[in-house]
Amino acid sequence: MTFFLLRRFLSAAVLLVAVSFLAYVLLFPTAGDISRNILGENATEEQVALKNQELGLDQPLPIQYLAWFTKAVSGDLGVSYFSSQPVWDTLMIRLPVTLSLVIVVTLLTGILAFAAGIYAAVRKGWVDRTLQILATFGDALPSFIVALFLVTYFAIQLKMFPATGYIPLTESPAGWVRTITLPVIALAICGVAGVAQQVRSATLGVLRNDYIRTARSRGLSERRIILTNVLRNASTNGLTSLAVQVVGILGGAVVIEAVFALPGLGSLAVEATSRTDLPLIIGVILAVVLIVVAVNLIVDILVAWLNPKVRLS
Amino acid sequence: MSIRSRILTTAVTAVVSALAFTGCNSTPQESTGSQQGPDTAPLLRIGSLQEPQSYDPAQANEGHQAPIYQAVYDTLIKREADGALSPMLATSWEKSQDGLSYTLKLREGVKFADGEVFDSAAVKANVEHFKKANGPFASSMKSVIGVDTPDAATAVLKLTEPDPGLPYSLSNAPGYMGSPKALETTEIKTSPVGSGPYVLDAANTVAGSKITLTRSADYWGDKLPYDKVEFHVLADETARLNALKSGQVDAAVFQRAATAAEAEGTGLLHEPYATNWEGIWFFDREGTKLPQLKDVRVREALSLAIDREALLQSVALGKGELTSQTFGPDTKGYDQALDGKYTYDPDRARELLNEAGAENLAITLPVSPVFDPAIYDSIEQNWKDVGVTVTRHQWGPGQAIPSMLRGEFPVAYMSLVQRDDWRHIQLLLAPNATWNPFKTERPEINELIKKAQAGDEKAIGEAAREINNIVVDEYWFSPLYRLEQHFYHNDKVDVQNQAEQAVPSIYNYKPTGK
Repeated sequence: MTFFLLRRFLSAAVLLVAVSFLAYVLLFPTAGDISRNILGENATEEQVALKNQELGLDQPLPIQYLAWFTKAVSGDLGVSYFSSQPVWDTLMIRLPVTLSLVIVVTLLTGILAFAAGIYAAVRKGWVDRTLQILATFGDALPSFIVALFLVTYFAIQLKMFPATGYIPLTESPAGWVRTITLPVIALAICGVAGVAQQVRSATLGVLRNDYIRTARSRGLSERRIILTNVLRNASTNGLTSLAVQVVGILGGAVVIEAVFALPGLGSLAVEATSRTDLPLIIGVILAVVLIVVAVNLIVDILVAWLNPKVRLS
Repeated sequence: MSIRSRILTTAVTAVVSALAFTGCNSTPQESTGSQQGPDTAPLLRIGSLQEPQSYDPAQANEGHQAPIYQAVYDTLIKREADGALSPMLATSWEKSQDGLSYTLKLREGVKFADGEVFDSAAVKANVEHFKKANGPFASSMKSVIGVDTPDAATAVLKLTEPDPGLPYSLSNAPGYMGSPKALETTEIKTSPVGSGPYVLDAANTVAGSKITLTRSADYWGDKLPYDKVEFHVLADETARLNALKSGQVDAAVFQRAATAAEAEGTGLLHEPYATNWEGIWFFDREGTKLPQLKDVRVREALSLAIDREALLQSVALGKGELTSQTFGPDTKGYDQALDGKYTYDPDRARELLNEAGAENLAITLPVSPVFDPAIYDSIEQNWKDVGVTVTRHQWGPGQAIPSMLRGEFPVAYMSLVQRDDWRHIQLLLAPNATWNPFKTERPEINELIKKAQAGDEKAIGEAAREINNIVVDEYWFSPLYRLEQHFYHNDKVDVQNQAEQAVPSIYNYKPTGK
């Protein structure tokens, strides 16, 4: 296990360096315009040139990247070109918002999808068919359409939830719940559908196995069989699919955070990209990569723990 | 307070505000302009498109961010809602005979939020800091070389050349006065120290989400009506509309006509006014990159080929006025007779192209993601209809303005705010103007600029009008329309529009008592 973890951490580090370099290379061609965008439409060419110098944008790409890299290694991600805030500080403000969404949505998706998937597989018949239809429907619904509907109905007409904004958990747990409820629902709907399908087919597969028949013939209760044998064996597929969903949730968060004006990583990514705020964009990318890596790691560990066969391979 | 009484208070407040809310929703009002509201109100909430990049006054931006800076920083000169300049931290300002200095008499007894005194030394420190910091508006203080301080209540701004735009600049970003002691620190970027009516409430401010401002304890001037002001940062247009519709904010500005129409439909209030003009810019009037463009007949043909009325109706949903000039109606340079000069006439356009021998004209139309794609579609179609070959070039986010100002394209579609006469000329029409990337120059315009620079306000107005006529006759631009600003608010606030600014100034809000 130690070796397994070490290898994963090493590959994560390599990934981070590669991604940051790639981002630099891809964004570099637009770097010449950053100073103009900071200073605005009234600035003169001399002002722009001066700003370029100030930010080091007049240096060649490798030198700029190296300067960024040496600082980044020591934990200094630089300062946003636009907000004069350190990138690290900005990320620390934005991260809890997105993490709130991702964690709550993932847990909710996991619980609902597993419950629905297993229930459908075991019950079969009309329950299964209804869930199938609902799942297809949920899968096909774009989350932002759901979000717009939720805002219009629950926030604007019924005024049950705020239409926009975010209240941190540390400030007011009740406020936090109120502000993230609608975004969470919007994001979870298609996630649940996708994962439930995976769990359902995996469960069906497991149920067909001989050892289930053996367990049944030994007189074990159906509940016991599902909780021990089926869940454990079907979870690999479900969890992997959940991990894929998390990446999708992060993508969906870009849109959902914009609709609900949540100050998270998604809206930060949009702002930073539209202004080519190089240090901030790279900061956001690194944070997102880290989340994805972490989620995959957690899922891998969970799967290995649930299913010892995986550890051998 | 015991828990029970706290719950009771909360419940009562909730019920009262709920009642107030349903009450105000039931009868949408036509206008609140004539209503007399209470003198004060506890809270004003404004939906903002952006948040300041930095609270350093030298890095201050105008337009959408102006009210946020105005809340914490006073300007030397105040700009009233109609654009007139009036005393603020400076009680008077006087230009010298040669136009090379401005003497400002300063208000006495004004203190910054940190207790520092506002005097001529503070003005000097601010001007020097502003020039050194290379912020967005550094160029508007280009002509100022130094500040003399004969006594504490007098500051004399020394200029290298006459600058009739200076008083106006002092009512904007260059005029924000920060505490000299705070200007030297890096904290100024995140915590403003000015003499304004409000101070930043850092504990209730969340970057990217909300800016909270509370009343400054001993503000020198007339108190603004609100005890607390919140700016809700809502970058997304839909989010802004939703926040306004659900009553989370009292006022917000929109960028799309469709959003405005939706806001109108839900009974939100609006007073039409225009700040921007937009249209085609013929940057390359000398034919440097596109030789045919040197011929005024070609520029005329391209202008007459565009069906302005159709564009106004389809893209802007009729929310604007057609125009052929870049000067706004509030300026002296504006000439009403010019507004309908460029009318849609494709036959005449074809003739003109023929006469100019430009039947095979091929134009690259650069496309910015900022504008509605329908604008480009229409213009492309209009030009193709008169036989012009049009190819498109797609700009990435943030590329359009730098590319235009580098002179990479002979022609482009762009929108700009309508400024006062002098700054309009300086920014768009002068030989070395930022928005004149191909450096078009006419001796007669140079003469007029010189006359304006040395003269008084009247002389500037006259020169501006003549310059405007030349530019319209020569088809330097093909303006389409002045777009209505889509600023909407609920009936709890009474708002006055602000000339030349995307959103109302912080001084323009009043409670209606609803």
